Amino acid sequence: MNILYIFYYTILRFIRDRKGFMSMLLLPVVVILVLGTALSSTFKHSDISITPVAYLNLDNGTASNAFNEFIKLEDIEEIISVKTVASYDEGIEMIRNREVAAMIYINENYTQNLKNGGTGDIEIIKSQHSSFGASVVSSVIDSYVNAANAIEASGKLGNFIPQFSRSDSVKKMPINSTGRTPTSMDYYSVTMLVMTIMYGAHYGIDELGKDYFESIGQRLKSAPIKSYEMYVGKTIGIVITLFLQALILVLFTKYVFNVNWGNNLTEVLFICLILSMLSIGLGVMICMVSSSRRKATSLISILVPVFTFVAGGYFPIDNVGGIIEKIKYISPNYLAQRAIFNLVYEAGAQETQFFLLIMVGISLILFITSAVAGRRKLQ
Amino acid sequence: MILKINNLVKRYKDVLAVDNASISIAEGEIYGLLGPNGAGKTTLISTILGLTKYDEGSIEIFGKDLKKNEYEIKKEIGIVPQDLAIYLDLTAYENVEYFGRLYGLRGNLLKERIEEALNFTGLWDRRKDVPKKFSGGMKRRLNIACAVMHHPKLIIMDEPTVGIDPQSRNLILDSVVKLNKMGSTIIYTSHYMEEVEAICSNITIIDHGRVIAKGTKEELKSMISFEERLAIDISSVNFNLVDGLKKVIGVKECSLNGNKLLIISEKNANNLSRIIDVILKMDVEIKGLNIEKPTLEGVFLTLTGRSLRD
Ligand SMILES: Nc1ncnc2c1ncn2[C@@H]1O[C@H](COP(=O)(O)OP(=O)(O)O)[C@@H](O)[C@H]1O
Ligand SMILES: [Mg+2]
Repeated sequence: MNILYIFYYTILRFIRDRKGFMSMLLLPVVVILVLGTALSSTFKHSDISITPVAYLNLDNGTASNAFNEFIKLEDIEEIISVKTVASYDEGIEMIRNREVAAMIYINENYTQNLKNGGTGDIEIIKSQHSSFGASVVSSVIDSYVNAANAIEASGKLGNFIPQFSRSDSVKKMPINSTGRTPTSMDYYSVTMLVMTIMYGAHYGIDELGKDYFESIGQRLKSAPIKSYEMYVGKTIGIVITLFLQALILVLFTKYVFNVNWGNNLTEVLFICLILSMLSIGLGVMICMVSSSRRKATSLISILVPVFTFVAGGYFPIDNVGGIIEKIKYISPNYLAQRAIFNLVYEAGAQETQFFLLIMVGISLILFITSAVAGRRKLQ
Repeated sequence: MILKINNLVKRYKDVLAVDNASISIAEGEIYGLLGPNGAGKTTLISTILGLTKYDEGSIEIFGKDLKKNEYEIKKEIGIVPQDLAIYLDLTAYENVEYFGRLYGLRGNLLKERIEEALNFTGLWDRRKDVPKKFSGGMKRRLNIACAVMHHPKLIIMDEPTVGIDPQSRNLILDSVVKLNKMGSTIIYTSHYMEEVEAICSNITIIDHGRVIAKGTKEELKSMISFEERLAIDISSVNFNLVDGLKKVIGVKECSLNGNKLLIISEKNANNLSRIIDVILKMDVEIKGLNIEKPTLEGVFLTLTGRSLRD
C-alpha cells in the first residue's frame, strides 16, 4: 500500500511539473530535427527555412578551427546560414536589425583556455525576436559541443580522431537486411530517444538523492515505512515518468515526423521501458556510491555523451574498427539502439533478445548495488 | 520517562558531535534543547530517530529500544526537521495528505486530520496552493503541519523558527504550547534563548556536544544569580569613573561600552546607592538604569564565556 502511495505522489509531482517534463522532450525533438537534417544530404527537409546567424571568431589558436570547418559543412549550411562579422558590435547590430537570429561568438582566449585545461565556451547571443531560430542555433552548437566532448574523451582512450564527414554517413549503416535503409531522421530519432532516456539518470539522482541526503529524507526515514517501500515506490515512479517521456517522443516522431518505428511498436516500447530502468538504476547507483548529488550529476553529464558517441548516436561510426568498435559494447546506448534497429528493420531477433537480457542484467546489478550502498549509508 | 538517553557519544571523523550526553524527558513536558549553532542538537535528534548511527551509549523511547520496535515507535513520533522537509510542488493539502498516509491515516480520519493540521497552522485557506508561492514562515508552518497530523505522543522540533517573521514565530510558539496541551510531549530545539525561556519547562543546554547544564528554568538561573548585573546609561564619559566604581565594595567587574556602563556585583552587595554616588560625584548624569535579571543567555555566558549567538 505504501509503495502505491509513494509511487502515486512521485509521478504526480513529475507530471505536474509540465515545464520540466516537456523540456526533456523539447531538446531531443530539436536535436532530431537538426541532426536529422544537418548530417544527411539524402534527407532534405524543405519545410524548415534556413536560419541566418552571425559568426565572430576572435580566437587565433587552432582549437576553433574544427568549429570553422563544422559550420562550413554543406549539411549545416542547409540549416543555418553563417555570416562572418568583423566585430562584436557588428553582430549585435545585426541581431538588433533582425538580420540574424543569433550570433555565435568565440572569444580570443578560446584555444588558450582549452590548453590550460579550462573550458572553451562557444557563446551564443540570442535575438529576442526569433526564439525558434535561436534555439535551432543553440541545438547546432550543442550537438557540436557534445560530439566534440565525446571525441575529446575517447581520444584519451585510444587515438581515434574521427572527422566530420561531408558524405552521408548514414548510408553506411549496416542494418538493411530487408533492403530498407533508415533515413537520417529515422536514425537520429532512435539515437536521440535512447540518449534522452539515458539522460533520465538525472531523475534517479535527484529523487533518490533527495530522499537519502536531504531533509525530506529525514521525514521519510522517520516515518513508519520500510526503506524498501520507499525505494521501490520512488523508483517505479521515476521509471514510469521516464517511460512516459519516451512514449511521447516515439509517438510524436511517428506521427509528426513520420519516423519509421516498424511494425513492432510494442516491443520497441518494451525496450524503452527496460532502458528507462537501466538509466534510473545507473543514476541511483552513482548517487548512492558517490554519496553526493553534485558528483553524480557531473559524472552522468560526462558518461551519457560518451555512451552516445561510442554508440554512434551523434553520427554513425559502425565499422570504424579499432578501440571504438570494441568499447561500444559497454555503452547501454549501443545495446538499446541496436535492439531497436533490429526490431524496426526486422533483423537479428536473437541478438535483440540477447541485448535485452544484458540490459535487464545490468539494471539488476545497478539496483542491487544501490540497495547495498544505501543500506550501509543508513546506519 | 518518554525518552532516556544514556551516555551517548557520536563522532564524525574528527568531530565529537555528541560527547557523553545523558538526557531524560518525562511525559507531558515541553523540553528545551538549547545551544549555539554547531552544538550538536541536530545530531542528537537524528540519533534518537535512528537516522544517524551513534558510537556509544543507549537510547530508550517510550521505554523501548528503537531498533527492536522501530515500526511502533516511529508511528508515535512526529518530526519537524531543521531544514524544510516538504514538497514544494505538491499543494499544502497534498503534502499533509501524503505524510498522513505514510503514518497510516486513511479515509475520513485522514481528511479530518488534514483539516485540523492546516487550520492549526493557519494554512487552511491556502491549502490548494503549492508551497513555492509561500513565504518563509508559511513554509515553516507547513513543515510543522506535516509532522503533527497523526497526533504523535512525541514531537521533535529542530529549530522550527529559524529565519521567519515575528508573526509566524508567535503563531508557531503558540501552536507548540497548544500541541502540548493536547497531549504531546515536545522536544524543542533552538539557539534562541527567549523562545526556550518562554515555552519550555525543563531545559538542557549543550555546547560542543556536551551537556553543560540542565534543570528547570529557575534552577538554571539560580546557578548564576550569585551576581547582579547593572546597566547604566550615562551622559558623558569620565576616565576616572571606571576605576572609581571598581573600588566600590561588592563590585566585581566594571566596563564601559560607549555611553553604557556595565557593572557586575556580588549578590546582595547592597551597593546601588554607593555606585550612584560615585557617578554623580564625577559630574556625570545618569540617563537610564537597568538592573538585569538572570537569563538563560546569562547562564550560557557564565558557563562558556561566550554568547549564544556569536
Ligand atoms: N554529516 C556530518 N559530517 C561531519 N560533521 C558533521 C555532520 N553533521 C554535523 N557535523 C558536525 O557536528 C557538529 C554538530 O552539528 P549539529 O548537530 O548540526 O549542530 P546544531 O544542530 O546544534 O547546530 C558540528 O561541528 C558539525 O559541523
Ligand atoms: Mg541544527
